[in-house]
Amino acid sequence: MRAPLSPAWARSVGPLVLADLRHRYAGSVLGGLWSALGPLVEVAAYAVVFGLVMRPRTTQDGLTYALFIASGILPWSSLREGLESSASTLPDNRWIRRSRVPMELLVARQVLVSAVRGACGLLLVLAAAFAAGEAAGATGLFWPLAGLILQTAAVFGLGLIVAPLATLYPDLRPALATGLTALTFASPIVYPESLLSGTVRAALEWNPFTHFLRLYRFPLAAPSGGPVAELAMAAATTMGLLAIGLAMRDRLWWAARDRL
Amino acid sequence: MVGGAGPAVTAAAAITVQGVGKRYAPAGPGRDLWALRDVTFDVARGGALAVVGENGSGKSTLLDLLMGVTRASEGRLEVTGAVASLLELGAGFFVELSGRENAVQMGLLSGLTRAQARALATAAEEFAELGEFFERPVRTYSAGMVMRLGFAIAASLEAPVVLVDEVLAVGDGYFQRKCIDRLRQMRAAGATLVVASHDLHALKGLCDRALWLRQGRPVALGPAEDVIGRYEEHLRLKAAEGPGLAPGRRGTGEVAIRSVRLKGAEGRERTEFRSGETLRVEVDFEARRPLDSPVMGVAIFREDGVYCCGPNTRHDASLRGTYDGRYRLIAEFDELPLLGGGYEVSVSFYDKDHVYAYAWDHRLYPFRVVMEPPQHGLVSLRHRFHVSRIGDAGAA
Repeated sequence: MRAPLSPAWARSVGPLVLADLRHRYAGSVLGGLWSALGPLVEVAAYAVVFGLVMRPRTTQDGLTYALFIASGILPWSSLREGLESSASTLPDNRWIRRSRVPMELLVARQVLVSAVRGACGLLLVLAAAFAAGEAAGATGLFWPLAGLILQTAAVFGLGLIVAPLATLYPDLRPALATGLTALTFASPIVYPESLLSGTVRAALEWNPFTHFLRLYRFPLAAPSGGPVAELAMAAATTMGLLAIGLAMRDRLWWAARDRL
Repeated sequence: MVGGAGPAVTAAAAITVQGVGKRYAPAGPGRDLWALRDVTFDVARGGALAVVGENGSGKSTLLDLLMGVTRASEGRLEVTGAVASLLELGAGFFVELSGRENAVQMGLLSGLTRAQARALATAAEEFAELGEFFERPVRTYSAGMVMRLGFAIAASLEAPVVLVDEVLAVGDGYFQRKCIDRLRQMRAAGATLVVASHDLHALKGLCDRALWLRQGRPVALGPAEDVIGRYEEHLRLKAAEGPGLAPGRRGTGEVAIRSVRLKGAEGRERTEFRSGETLRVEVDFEARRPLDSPVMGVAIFREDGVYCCGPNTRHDASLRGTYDGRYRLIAEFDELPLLGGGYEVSVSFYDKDHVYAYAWDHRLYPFRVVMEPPQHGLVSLRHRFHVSRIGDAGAA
């Protein structure tokens, strides 16, 4: 059994992530702006529809609402992209079957690439909120950053299971995409929790992403004290997913390898 | 020894394989497929095993098992020491990284320190001879360049066990030779090799033992010359039933075949001979650089591809020496024993170990043999009949 974080592949992942980010928009005029443009359009669409057209029953104005959505959509898109690209990374890199490159390296690369994009997006949104006077001071940044690190580790753990399973069961890829779309609306991403009834809010406590969202939005809400309970829930989720991923990856990977 | 209880494993074995089998479950309904079964052999430290067999015979599966990228479904398999391998074109390469970055990555993944990995990249750069492409993303490489990079990295890792699958064939003649020479050097330095290839000449020169697989089962295991010879014979018989290696011009180009003339005993060039006549094959060739004792050969094929004979100068001490410049080789076949029909001549020049071809004109020079009265078969063997009475039937 390999060590959980074998330094051999961990040392390799950095250059791969950089190369991936560099290569992704190589030759395009707008370059890295494309990675911001997609989520920005999405945020703008939600802000227009829910903030202006439908006028939610909140006191938030258009800008506040746009920042609110963006702070949820960007990390969520990163999670989604990390999982979906993990699901396709083995079939996309069939050569791995006959190489010593560990599956962890491919999954870690995909997850980190999407995490870097998510982190850049979230930091920009929080900076914009700070500039517009909608966010608390820089010390509040600790919570979203901790959330992002935990989310990345959690997606990595889940990716270690999803990657071989999607190879063994090709139906998993479309099922995952559909499931994640459903989860977009089952998480308080585009609507504030304050709009929900007590029962629904209680149910949301069982959705792990809710706790991550609260960490990301902590600077926007600007309350006193820190969301320690949310951090603990997010950390527990991450530990659980990492433990399951690391425990199952060997067995699943050997089975998937023969299918590639 | 193949199959059964297996050989007594020597203390110096670098690779031990006992009763190994690999089964693949089908993706849909259907029976399990045994890609490999009942394979037993060992390779001594510093030994070299050739793995031969037709496509789908299990060669790649065996190498995958040795490298540890798939697990055996049954049997026992042990490889002592670090393994470097070249199993599949581009395996382990990240196409967005440059050749150098990939070499460093491979080094890190093989457990080297960053400084060692950088040294590995420098060694690979020197061997691969990719020029400025070494700094460009691998996605811009041709298949031959990917092979160069892969081999250069695998060779530079200096692992005690080296596995090479049929990837050398992708390279150009010059680089193929360079690879074979490098594998020889590695072996001389004590490395253990397992090489799967369809280049049987190269395997004979490189390996001391050979394993022949067919449909996942071992057919023969033993000295490379014997086993590969038997496999070649099998291929020849098969070629007689179907199309063999297509006629054409091959080789690394260090020898240029200038002209090939077929002549009779009287010295006149012609394309028709009577059975039993003398056939003289005159080959004008040029060694483009000084070559040490090249092996020169002339072979005759029947027009349907059946290999009739192919003598060469490998064991002819009188023709050894350095060849540089223009020469004329004459091969004389006295009393041509061929039956009536169409034939083709192949001419080849190999290196002194008969591993790679400097020049090889395969079945490019046709001629006809006429025979009256016609006979059936392949050759006309000198023969006599005797009939004598051996007593009344039933009297014994």
